[in-house]
Amino acid sequence: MYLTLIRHAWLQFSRAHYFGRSLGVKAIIAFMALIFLIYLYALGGSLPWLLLRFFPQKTAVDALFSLLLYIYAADLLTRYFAQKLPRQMIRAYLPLPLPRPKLARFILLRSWLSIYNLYLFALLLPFFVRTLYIPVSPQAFWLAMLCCFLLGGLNHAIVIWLKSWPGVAPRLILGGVLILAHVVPGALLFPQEYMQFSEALGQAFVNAHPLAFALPLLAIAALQWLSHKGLKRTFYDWAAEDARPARTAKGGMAGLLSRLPHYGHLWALEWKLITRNKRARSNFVQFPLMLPLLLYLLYAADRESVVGFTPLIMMFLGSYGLYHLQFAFSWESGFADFLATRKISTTAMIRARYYFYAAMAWAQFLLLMPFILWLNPGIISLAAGLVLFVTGPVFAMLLHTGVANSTRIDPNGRSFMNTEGVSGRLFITVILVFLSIVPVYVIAFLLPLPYLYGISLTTGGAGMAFVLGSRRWTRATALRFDRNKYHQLNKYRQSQW
Amino acid sequence: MVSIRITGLKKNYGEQTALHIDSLQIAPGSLTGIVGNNGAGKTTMFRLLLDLIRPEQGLAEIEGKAVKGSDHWKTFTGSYLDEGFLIGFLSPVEYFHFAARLHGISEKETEERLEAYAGFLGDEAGGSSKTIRQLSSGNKQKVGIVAALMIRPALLVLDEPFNYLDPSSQIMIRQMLQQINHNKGTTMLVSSHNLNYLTDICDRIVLLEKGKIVKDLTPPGDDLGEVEAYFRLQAGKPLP
Repeated sequence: MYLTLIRHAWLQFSRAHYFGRSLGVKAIIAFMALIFLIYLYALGGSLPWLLLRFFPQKTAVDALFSLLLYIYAADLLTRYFAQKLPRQMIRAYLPLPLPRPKLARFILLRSWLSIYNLYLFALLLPFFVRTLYIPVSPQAFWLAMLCCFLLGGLNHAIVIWLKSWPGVAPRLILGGVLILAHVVPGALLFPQEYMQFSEALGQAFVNAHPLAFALPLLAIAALQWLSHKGLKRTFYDWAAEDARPARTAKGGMAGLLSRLPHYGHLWALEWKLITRNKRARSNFVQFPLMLPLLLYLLYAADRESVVGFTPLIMMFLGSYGLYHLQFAFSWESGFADFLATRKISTTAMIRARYYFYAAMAWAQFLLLMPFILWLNPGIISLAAGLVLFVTGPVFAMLLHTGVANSTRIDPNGRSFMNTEGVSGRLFITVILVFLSIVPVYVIAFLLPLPYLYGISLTTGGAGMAFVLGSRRWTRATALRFDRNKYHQLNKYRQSQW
Repeated sequence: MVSIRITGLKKNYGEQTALHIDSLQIAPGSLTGIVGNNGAGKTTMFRLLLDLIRPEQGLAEIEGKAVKGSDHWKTFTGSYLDEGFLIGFLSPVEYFHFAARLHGISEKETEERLEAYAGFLGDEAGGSSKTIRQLSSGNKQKVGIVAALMIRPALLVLDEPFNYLDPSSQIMIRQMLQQINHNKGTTMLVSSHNLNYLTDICDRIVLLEKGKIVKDLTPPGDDLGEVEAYFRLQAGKPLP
């Protein structure tokens, strides 16, 4: 039965309409992933040398162990946002005479086949080969690898347990608590003690202390058992997903927006889209969790580190719009024919969308401004410049290139590992978004100003030019969209599920 | 009242010709039924008429103006072909209001107009807090049809409006179409597999086969038995 389910998963993957699309780009992505793994492997090989530079009083192994909890805290954070429960297609099986526990077990087993359970090995394997296998003993090496497996497995079990819970709120609260449990003592309150504990934990593993293995193992088993129980309950939710009335009450934000003149009805539509579309909503509600990280980056950024931090800061300052506009014209997959047969100006639609997400980014910035002024007042001009930059050229680029994005998938319906929506155009656009800051660095470097102010000025200037010229480029984007109308509609139609 | 003219309209899907109509004129205020078996080209014809796909050659005109690349017809045309016309994440009421607003109909007026369709929509499609994507196919169909009708269009294009509907709703929609056509002079193009419903209400029946018009009948002068005989012939021998 499990084999049949695995085969079905493969068929769903390979028969998806976008499977054969952009294979070249997917090959490039796969190649880049391979390069990334090789890079991690090389980094792992040179890690002893790097660690000894920063921690000269320790051995490389002890230095790594003192950072072990930080590494796995970052891993937990990454998994929390990125790792998915492989739940697709299960709904179709629920009415069939298949035991639910078996389905739950299948989902749990399949969830272990995840890149998140592999990537850290690429980093740590060469490190432990160099520091334990050769100079100490093969036994110490295998114990260290088991330590990595158990800590990664624990993170996996935590995230899967959280994601097998019905409802978003408990997931968000529990996830937040778990992440804070690492961040508060580790980064804010007792970093020294946290590092000492981390080091002791690593040594306990290498010294084969039974408790070091038993506790995570028991925790994993307990979490998997809880996930299995939770999943069986969650199946009912999944089965009833379409029958459950959504919150469509009048008033609220959508009501407020729809009362606004001119673009009001389109803004209300956009608001309903991001709050009711499954995928959009889950990203939208999770976005605020990233804001403490943004504040931390702004706090930590100084003259030296700002260049490295800027793309990351820019990503967060763009707010939810930076993610949403990557799929700029995909969200309408389900009602493209409706739009095409109504008297709606494409320019108005694109402008409404642009103003909506630009306003969201600015509202976020204004809300964060008191915190930024408190934490690192010197960075405020750069932050303002970057908001202008994101809401200017970056949003313009996403909207303009989005017209030619060759996939029009329903972002709700996606298939595991199909990198849906990642057309060549989108792939290049996302890379360009991050590279767009490079010319700004160069110009800032040439200006007779302190570097930080130079970047603020250039990002702000470029941003302002695009914000002020938005009527012009939105019209150009709309014209481009209209010129490709039939191609667009065809893409939408192909993407129907 | 709105007229339609189709001239040399051709649409291919790969090697296959989905539609090839040399000439077709739809008179203002007429109720024309388009019939044909699956793949006959009914939906393709409607998609071309609504400028949703591009023809290889030819012209579809509404009110004397080509629809291709034009918007003029949208203000007076109500249409529903399939679920692609529905906005899944809106509730039906929100959808109606959104569609109405695009046609410049006030909220109050929309409410009033919707009241007339309350019986047809029923509780689930008319008043529940479900979003459209959560509705059954029948209720989705009702929502799409009402959204097309409530704007009081001068031209109405409906593809298989009787599909998924319960028998009472099928009778209701038949009566509504007849009434609107009669009272308001709305030009209507309706396709259906249900020959009986169409022959009852339409003043013209166009039969498509493999993208071409094979019969064009105007009852009561023409004998609709011909159409029935055609389908019987197409059915061939009954399966064992």
